[in-house]
Amino acid sequence: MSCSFVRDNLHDFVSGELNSSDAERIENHLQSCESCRACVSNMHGFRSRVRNLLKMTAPQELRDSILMKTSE
Amino acid sequence: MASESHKTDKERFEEEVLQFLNGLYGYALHLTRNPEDACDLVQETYARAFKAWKQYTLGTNAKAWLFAILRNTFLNQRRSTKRRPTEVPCDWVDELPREDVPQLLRFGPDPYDKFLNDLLAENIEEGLALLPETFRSAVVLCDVEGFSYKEIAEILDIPIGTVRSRIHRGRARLRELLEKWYLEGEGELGS
Repeated sequence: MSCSFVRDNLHDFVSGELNSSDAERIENHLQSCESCRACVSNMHGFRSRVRNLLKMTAPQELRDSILMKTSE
Repeated sequence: MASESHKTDKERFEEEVLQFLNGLYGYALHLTRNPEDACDLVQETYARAFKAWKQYTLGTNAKAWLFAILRNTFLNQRRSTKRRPTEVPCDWVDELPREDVPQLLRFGPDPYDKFLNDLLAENIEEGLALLPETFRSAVVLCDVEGFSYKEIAEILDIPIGTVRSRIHRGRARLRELLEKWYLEGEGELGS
């Protein structure tokens, strides 16, 4: 297992889209590679920040209006 | 309260699809970039979904079904009004490296945490708005809404390999823009 395998599969790994055996290989590698650990951690941090900042709440009027229309 | 077997179509509809309203509104905002247009788009989506509800099969993925209706409605409206959003040329797509590790390591862990903490929703929205719609959709559906690549492929009606590539490149481009603005602002991001 090399750093290049982690880096080639970084996006799929953080998206949870790698098969379990490849994900496990990466997890094992991260235990001993500080550089790859930092890459993965930064990518996880970025995704999580984007998700938290972009979560929206729909206006109550929109909810009310949809409910009203489905009642017609 | 109606028992499971006596629920009306309206009750089932409200229970099973209104739970996705916040996510649909957020996605609509990313597509239209305007709260009023986003509300109209979501209303139209629910109107279409309600009409199709009787043909909808229980057990299928209601969330992905609704997001696909919303995006198709958006594309149809855009076509009919001939309105095209302002998007930067896509030359950057072919110039992106296969992976973007150097950028990820450029800050190191502590400065990177500071960069993340300083990010504002407006910064990310501005960065996303500069991506072509399919890249923006792929990133938002994956990173904000938590859809799998397979679900995104169904919503966007493209192969999974294309979804993967758009997520990789869209994310890399978004981060590249945000980091560039951050470094140009000497550690500050304007809203």
